Amino acid sequence: MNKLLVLFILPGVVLFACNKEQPNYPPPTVRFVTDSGYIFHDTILTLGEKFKIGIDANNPNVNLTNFIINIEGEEIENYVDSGMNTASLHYRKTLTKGIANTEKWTFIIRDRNLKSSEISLNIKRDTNTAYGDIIYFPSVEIGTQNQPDGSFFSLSEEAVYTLEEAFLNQDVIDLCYYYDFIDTDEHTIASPGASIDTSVFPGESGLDSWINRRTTRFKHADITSAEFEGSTNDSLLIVAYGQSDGKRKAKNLQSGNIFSFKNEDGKMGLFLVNSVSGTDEGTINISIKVQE
Amino acid sequence: MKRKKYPLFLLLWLTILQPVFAQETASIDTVNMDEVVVTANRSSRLIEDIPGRIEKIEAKAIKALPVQNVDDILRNVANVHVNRSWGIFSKNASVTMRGLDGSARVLVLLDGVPLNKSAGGSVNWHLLSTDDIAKIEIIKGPASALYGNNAMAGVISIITKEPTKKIQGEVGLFGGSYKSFGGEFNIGGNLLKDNKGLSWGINSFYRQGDGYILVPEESRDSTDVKTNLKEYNIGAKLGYRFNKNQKLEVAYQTSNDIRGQGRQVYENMGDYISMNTHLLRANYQGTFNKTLLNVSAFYLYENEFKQNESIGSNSGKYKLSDRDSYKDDIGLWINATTHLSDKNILTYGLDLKRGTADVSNTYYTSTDVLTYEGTLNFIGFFLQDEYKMLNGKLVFVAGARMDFASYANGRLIVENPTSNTGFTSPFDSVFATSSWNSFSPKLALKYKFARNQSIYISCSQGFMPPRLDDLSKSGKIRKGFKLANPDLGPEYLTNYELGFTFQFFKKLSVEPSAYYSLGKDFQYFVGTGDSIDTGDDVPRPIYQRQNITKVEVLGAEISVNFQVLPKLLLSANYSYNHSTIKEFNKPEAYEKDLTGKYLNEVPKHMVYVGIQWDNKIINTTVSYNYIGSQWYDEWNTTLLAAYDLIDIRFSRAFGKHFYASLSIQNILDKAFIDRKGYLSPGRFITGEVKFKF
Repeated sequence: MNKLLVLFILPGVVLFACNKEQPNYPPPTVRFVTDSGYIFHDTILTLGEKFKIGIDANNPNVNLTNFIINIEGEEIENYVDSGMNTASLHYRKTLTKGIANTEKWTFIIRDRNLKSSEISLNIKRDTNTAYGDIIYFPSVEIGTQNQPDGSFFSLSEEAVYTLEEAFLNQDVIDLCYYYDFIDTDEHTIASPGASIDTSVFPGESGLDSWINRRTTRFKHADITSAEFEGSTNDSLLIVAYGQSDGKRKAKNLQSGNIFSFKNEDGKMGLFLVNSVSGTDEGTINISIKVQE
Repeated sequence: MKRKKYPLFLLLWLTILQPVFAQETASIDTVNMDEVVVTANRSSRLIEDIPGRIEKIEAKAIKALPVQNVDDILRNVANVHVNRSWGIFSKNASVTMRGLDGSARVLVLLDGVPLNKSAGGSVNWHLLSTDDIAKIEIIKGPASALYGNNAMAGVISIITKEPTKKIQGEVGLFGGSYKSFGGEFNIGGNLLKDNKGLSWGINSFYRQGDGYILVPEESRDSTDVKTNLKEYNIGAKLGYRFNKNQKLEVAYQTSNDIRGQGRQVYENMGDYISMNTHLLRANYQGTFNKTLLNVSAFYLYENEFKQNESIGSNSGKYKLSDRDSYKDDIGLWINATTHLSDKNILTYGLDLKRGTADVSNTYYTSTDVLTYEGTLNFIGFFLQDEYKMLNGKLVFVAGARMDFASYANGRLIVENPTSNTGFTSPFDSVFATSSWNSFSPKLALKYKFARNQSIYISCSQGFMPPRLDDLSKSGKIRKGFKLANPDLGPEYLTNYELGFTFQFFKKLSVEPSAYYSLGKDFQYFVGTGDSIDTGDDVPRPIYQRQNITKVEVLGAEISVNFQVLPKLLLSANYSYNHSTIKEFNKPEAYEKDLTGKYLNEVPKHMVYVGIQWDNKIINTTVSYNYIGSQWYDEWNTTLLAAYDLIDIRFSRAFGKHFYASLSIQNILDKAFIDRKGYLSPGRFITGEVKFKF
């Protein structure tokens, strides 16, 4: 009898004796990269000036699972909140000085045991620098995927392109417009680098065939039409976009919506939807303001 | 999908050994209206005296069925729908009855104590193994007049084996498809002398298996891996009989399992669920004069740990989180049956139960921590009178139960939220205390116009207060994002039923029933029409449990059993349910009305056909199940296709001590897709050998 009990119970006990509690390892380590060209202590920069940050983090005992960058300016903005499952992290990024007088950049690394470490630095704005000029396109008409006048737009060329024309000018295309029959999408302005179903822009010139799909990112802007119309320099554009990355699509667009954006060249802008019409053969009319 | 070669050697082995051992055939139960059940009235009665639809499955029948789990046994019962789409690799089974969705609407008892948790109403079917079961009784239709909460659609009562010899038991080993194997034993003894003394029993079950890939081949990616499982359960019970009229039994049952969910990104074990359940119970039974007293005390504790990891196919965003939930129920059920006369039996009692939940969701790839908790308290008093007239030809039952339920300590805490969980700011919300009460009456009449020919009519009401998970829990769910609804109210179901029993020459029985159920304030999962962006590839639709104003079920079932030969039994049953929402006073913010829609996850048609044939060479059982199409969603936009399965089992005893069997589930290897879009395991073969003493 005893042998039988051992035979059946012991394997179970051994197999299920896994412990959910992790050992009490020290928290992860995190440090700035101090190589030439990287900023690793408090600095003064001009508005819009690019700077490089490098972060190395690791924990030899337990994997890293979460990397967070918060920017504390006039308010706290979450710039990165990224999941991972890795022994070490090597983060390199070129960033842009925002509009706040002082930005406190905090870099937080968390591990599988929910332990965390953080480092931070302050980036101050050189208050002698002026705001930049902007370009204004008061009325840009773009068609949906089945509209012959063109669904692609270039900010630098200030022109609308058909799919075939856009295919030949991939390097300058920042926006495309299409209609999706999914309720939550419908009228959508996206970047060519977004994940767009192949049926939307099909064929030999279709997005799947592009070599250079530039990425523009969008954020819904909490500003009024009057504020949009009244902006004469890039201060509102910078404030509206902030520091964190937007999404690659601005969906479900309706008349009156305002979105901020940042193209692949780092130029920030705003667009205001003047009107939308139709479905997959419809059009959208927008006003655009973009950094010169 | 690759399949393993069938273990034909087992069949050969059975054939070769055939002449060596004397054959012992299990006798097949004939249809017998003299059988006794204990569940319908909370103490023993003859089936023929119960004005309602009752089914009973004995250990012998269970032994002959091609089943892997206890819930599989119920697939043969008319109007019971068992959903276990991944076979033994399923996290759990959902058992529903009589055209109502949700396993919380079926009360499941183990030796008289409830297994449904107050938190979500579900039952951990892996707590039990088939070998430990003496019989299962199934009461169809609302039984809240005696049992209160959960008994909306019916009651499934599992009664475990009691030893009859000084020492007895069986030990078995099995192996089968997907590298599954395991063992089990069940040993007990009865040391009674002059109706006094001890009885004891120990049982255990172990199983593991490699599993299969759930995702259809055309949709797989590198994160799709095989499911897997390791599980065991152990039980022990000790009984003492003081004299002929009094006995006490204390029992403990535990189960522990780890089931891989078929996805792995970075973590060694990937997605998995580990469930640890403990049940401690004590039952006292005593007869004093003309009164039988039953007292049951129980404590059910469950810890479920679930690890989730995923990577967005479009966004590439990696997420890792776990959910650690602690749920328990403690209760005391007391009932007494007094035989006022030969014609008049009074049943009365008091049930107390308290259920708590404490659940935390921790995200490792973001800072979110979600915690919810709550308590439900239940008190119920019941009284039922059974009266026989016309020399026992007419049985009249009238009963009622008063239930009081209250919700307290409800709380939802959201710490450091990010877009991963959809909450915009941290909060600590304490929900208001709520309480409800219900009066659940029952009236039933049975007339026996000849021996084993009878008609019954009944009218009864069911009652179910909200569950803790619906009152307190907010967070991601499989379908989308669930919002707590602390304002959710109880539901009521009134059932009108008519049924007949015809038995001819003790060979053929035909049992048709028809019923009409009207649900009021029916608790139902409803999409609000909004969605929430939690950083996944697509926004998650928001759901909330709501009270649907009026729900209607029009149903019928018929069971036929035909004893063709002493060792050949044919069984068949058909169930029909037309379950629709008749009225929904939807909250203003909700997008769509559900009036006129079918209840989801309720098959309209179900068919079972079974053949059990015992002979000198080999005993054979064949069962066929057809499960009709069912709606997946409340809007009735996605229809899950109907499917059918044929299972077969061969078994044979070799002398008094040895027994071997071969079970093949889904013998035609039909693949079907479940409501989550995952594949079923296909053909599943298990060979087993047992030693009995």
